[in-house]
Amino acid sequence: MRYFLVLIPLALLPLLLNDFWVSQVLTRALILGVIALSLSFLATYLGVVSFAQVTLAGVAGYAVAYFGPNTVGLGFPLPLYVSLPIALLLSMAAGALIGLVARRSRGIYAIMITLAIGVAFFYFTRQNYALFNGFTGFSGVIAPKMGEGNWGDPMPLYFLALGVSVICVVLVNGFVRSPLGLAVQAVRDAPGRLLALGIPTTYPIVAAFAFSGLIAGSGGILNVWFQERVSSFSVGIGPIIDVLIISVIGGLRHPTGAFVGAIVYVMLDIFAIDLIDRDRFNLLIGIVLLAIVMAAPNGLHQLAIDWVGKLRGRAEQPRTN
Amino acid sequence: MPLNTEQKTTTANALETQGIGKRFGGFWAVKDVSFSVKPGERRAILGPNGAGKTSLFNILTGDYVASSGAISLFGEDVTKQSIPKRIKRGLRRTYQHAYLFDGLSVCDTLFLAVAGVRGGWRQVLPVRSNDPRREEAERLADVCGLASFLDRMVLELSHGQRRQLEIGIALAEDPKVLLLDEPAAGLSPAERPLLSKLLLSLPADITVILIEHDMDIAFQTSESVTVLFNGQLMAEGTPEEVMADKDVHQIYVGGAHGH
Amino acid sequence: MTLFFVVTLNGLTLAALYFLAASGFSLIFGLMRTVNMAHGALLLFGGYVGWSVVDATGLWALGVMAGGLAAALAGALVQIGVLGRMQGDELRQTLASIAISIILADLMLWIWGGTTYQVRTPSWLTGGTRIEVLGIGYATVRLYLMVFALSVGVGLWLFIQKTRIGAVIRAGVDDQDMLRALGYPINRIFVLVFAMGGMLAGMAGVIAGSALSIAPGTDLQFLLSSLVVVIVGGMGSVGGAALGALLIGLAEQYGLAYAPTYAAVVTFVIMVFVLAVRPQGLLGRAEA
Repeated sequence: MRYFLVLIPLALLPLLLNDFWVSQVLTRALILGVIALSLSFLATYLGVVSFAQVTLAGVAGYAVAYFGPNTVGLGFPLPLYVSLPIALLLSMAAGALIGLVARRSRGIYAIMITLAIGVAFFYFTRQNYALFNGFTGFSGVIAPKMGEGNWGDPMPLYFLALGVSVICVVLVNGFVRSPLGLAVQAVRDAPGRLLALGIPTTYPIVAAFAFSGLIAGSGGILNVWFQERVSSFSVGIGPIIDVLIISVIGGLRHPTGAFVGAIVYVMLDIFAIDLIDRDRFNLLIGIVLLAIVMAAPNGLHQLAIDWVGKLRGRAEQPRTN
Repeated sequence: MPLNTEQKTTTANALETQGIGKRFGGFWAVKDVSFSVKPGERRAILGPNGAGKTSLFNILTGDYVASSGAISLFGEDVTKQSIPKRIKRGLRRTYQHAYLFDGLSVCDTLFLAVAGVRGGWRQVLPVRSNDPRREEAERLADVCGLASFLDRMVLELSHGQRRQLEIGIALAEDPKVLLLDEPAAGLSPAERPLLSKLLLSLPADITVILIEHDMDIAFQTSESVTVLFNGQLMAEGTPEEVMADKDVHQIYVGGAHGH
Repeated sequence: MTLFFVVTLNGLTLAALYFLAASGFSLIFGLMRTVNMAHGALLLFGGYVGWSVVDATGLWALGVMAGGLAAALAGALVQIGVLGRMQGDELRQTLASIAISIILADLMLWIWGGTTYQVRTPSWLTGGTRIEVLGIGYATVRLYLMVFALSVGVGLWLFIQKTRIGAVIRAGVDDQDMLRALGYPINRIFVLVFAMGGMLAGMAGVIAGSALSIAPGTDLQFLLSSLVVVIVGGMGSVGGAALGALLIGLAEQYGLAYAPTYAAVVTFVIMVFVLAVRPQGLLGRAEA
């Protein structure tokens, strides 16, 4: 199994690295990867590039903050086994709602609508104090206890993030082979033909967005435990663009490429300081994005596949389901 | 125009139309067409380009709302029914332009046609290889001659194979009346006999209505022929009778420009 | 009642700016199906250049022209250098224009810093004007802004409806391939339209800097408003941009004045409602 070729080193890596690497590089990349996976999933199988995935992650993150421990004295603490399902259900419901709004929009229209939704949510969190605590949001959102320490410590959180990543990848691979998953791909290819089979298109679209909400929400919960805070900045245009860039670097048509994109992005973020002025990071990331879009429109993952294919002397098939 | 209820008790026609038509602005694409097809019958619909054949199909399936007249399936009035309802009653069609799910495999395409999408949480579970619906999809692939291409992506199929898959999709879930819109269009001469064979091998209880330009295929596979011209019914009968019809000769051999 | 009139005038001011920004965005999309995510950056660029020119020369009109021309040039370069090379691949164009927008925003932050700028206006634009009918006074520059937006709207409409280039653009909106087959230099027309869109954005930037102010983030604000305005009004139509701008501008200001917590949501609700009823926008034509 080639999966173990990837997983075993990932499980052993923390033994070799210090906390900074485990936490700021690996864990962060896995969390960003999970959120970006939800975007790449929609792009690959529904053919829709959604800018609202950070919003979905934020919904789950805010829910965990609101229904769990925090230091702003807002919310309604619930036990973990209640608050976690609520958080995931809310992010799925939010996903379904976005799918419902954008169901008749494709291509660039879907991009514009999801972007508008994402930014509207950002402004809403800044202006609403009853649920989102406005501009400042929630701080002190610590991960649950585990033995001596808690799940938010570098090692436990890394393995938690790794576990969640694996589960999400397995879920995506299972979903796309389910009847509903097949219908989602059919919507991508020929929505009119699906209708002619007597299958409505709204249901698969809404389901795909809800499923992406589940994935993004899982990443969102991890992110809150990792940052120990969530605020309007967590769902602003910055993170929205970051997650998009990660998916593009990894290849929008390669769901698991999201993790490749995430590690590249995190490394750039950390080591850019050695290359250029820290304040010019956006310039660097913009140039990287432009270079990828112009030179490798299918992302680094596809680029690597192409190179491997060339080395083996034969062209590989781009995508199988 | 509801049909008489007495007709239900008699052996009803598989498909019957009474004076159906479709108007676009001031132009009647199909006008006052009445015809009936018996259960199990194989009927070819002929006519020059623009005669209204595909429009007729679109009215029958519900893609177009009829501007006039009534349609019944096995004695039941379906004129006002939606496309999915007519599909449930056993009406199936193929399209002139093979319009398929390029990113799915042959097996997955047929699976979707067989299983559809219903409610329930099971819909998100991966399909098992011993799922009866999957086995039915494999059987259909066999019927339409694609058994050895089950895992092939639709994008990679040849034009002829896409036609076969179209027919396979239409055969899913107990079809009773099959409307085939030019299944041989764009096929190479080598592929055409294969298609005829496939059409002849369809289960005998299925009623087939076929639009076809290839006279060989039409006459080989059909026992009766309806000729449309300028949206109206012009001739009807056995292939021999239609071949002998003067008007039919007129439109195919000469003088069609006069109209 | 005074509050209502002031809020209405504020809404119209915003609508006028939104229209200036969205009309160019919509024009570009209508002709070449390009969603230019760098449109907001072009607007801010025009605004900064206009500010610098006014600061150096004291000539406001020159600043507006310079801002418009600078953004037009930048827009043309974007089309020639990047977007034109991936014509037809809308997703790639969108992503590339996002990259350009990030790059431009950071370069502008580098050059002009993070401070808020207000463009100095000439004496005839400074101060307030008493509107006797409503019994209130209002900033003169904002009143002129509305007049300006109105005349740009009429001018744009006349240009598209009455001139030869306008006819070619209209034909291109309907059928680009036909235009290409007929031998029209479609790539040059694309660059021209991109420059025009940039020009409108750049002038809007200087005017936004005169009537309100400009700072990092202004680019995003106007990109998003342009998006919402054209989603609501309908893509590729000048009338749609005007109607959308009017709706969104007024709704935002009324929301801010009467239900501050939900101002952002009002805009969103309008958008969702329009999408549910008319996915192609109020004055847009249905996509094939």
